[in-house]
Amino acid sequence: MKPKKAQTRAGEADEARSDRELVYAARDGDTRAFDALFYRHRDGIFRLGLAITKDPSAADEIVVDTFARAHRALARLEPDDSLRPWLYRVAVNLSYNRRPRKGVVLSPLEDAVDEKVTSDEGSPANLAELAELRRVVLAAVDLLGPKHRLVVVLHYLNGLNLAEIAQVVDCPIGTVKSRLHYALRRLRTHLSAHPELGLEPRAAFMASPGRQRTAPLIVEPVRLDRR
Amino acid sequence: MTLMSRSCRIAQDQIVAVLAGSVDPRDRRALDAHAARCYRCADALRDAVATHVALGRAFAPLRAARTLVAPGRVRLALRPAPVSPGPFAPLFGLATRLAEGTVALGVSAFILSSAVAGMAPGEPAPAPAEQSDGVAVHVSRSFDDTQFFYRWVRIGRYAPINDLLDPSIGIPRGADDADTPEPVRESALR
Repeated sequence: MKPKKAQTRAGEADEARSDRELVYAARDGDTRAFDALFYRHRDGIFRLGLAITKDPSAADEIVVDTFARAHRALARLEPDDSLRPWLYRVAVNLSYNRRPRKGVVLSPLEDAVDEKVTSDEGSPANLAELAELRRVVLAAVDLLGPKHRLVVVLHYLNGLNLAEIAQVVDCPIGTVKSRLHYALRRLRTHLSAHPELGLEPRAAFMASPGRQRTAPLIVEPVRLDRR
Repeated sequence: MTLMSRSCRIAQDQIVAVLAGSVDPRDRRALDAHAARCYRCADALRDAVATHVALGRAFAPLRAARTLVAPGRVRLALRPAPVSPGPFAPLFGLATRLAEGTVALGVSAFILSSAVAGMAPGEPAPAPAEQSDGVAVHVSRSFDDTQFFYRWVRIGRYAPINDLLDPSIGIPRGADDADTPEPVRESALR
């Protein structure tokens, strides 16, 4: 039992270490440190690969290839704090290289994951409504261009903030903002064709609750100043 | 292109920052104040928030996706690449194929020749059958211990168990049951 306890303690210690420390340890030949990095980031990379390729087995291979590249690049890796942007950038490149070319019909994003409907969402009617909303929204995301889609996926699926997205896609934060803004407008245009979904904003975000006016659903095109 | 004031442009620019949670409270208050005056920016903010919420809900189940890939697969992928074959590799492959073909031909010839020899005329007739306990048994008068017998495995229909127990019924013989019966030592029948 003792070695098991020691292993658990070592695993906890690895979890407490930053990516930078783990990279330096892995560089010195510490296999456990590299494994800790792997377990820390594999699911995020898998989801990213899955969102782009829509193929779970391809996403698995992308995880493996990404970490194989990371292992080869250990000597020259200098992560500031998190290795995540570097790994995600590699994963994005691998995913787009692996993505089928012309003539191949890709399944919608929602088909890529076995959806498990949780019962805490409410009645069956609510669940069906949610499933429909999910289908429509993800289909609209599929219609976006690759750059805008990638920003949406990185932000809403992987939970990256604007600065991290800028590192992944290798462009200024202002560009990320404008891409996200454009993507949201395009999505809103697509979603406005489905009034039955009732995509109403939350009251807390209403800027002027007292004002009664029939607002247009589609935002007019706006030129954004890039930084 | 719609003409917009500078404050509107700033507000539109900050909408995404608001949604991403990367705007400081002062800018947020300024945006709210501007949206209270400008219906266009208020609508843009409202639409962006609605889409933001919808996206968050749509991506929620996908965020639960997990993989079971282990780090061992990375180590397998990091194995050194196999050594590239030398210039004589095609010749070696050809020689291997020729050897395989020769062996296959030899085995086929052996099987064919065995089959033809078995069907050759002039084969000695089976020894006469003797009746022992009502069952026909072929008896070999001259048994050579040094001779080996190879029997082909036959897959045939078994006789009903009642027929086997009835001593008046002999063992049924099928159409394919024409090989030489196994000789039985004469002394064994006594």
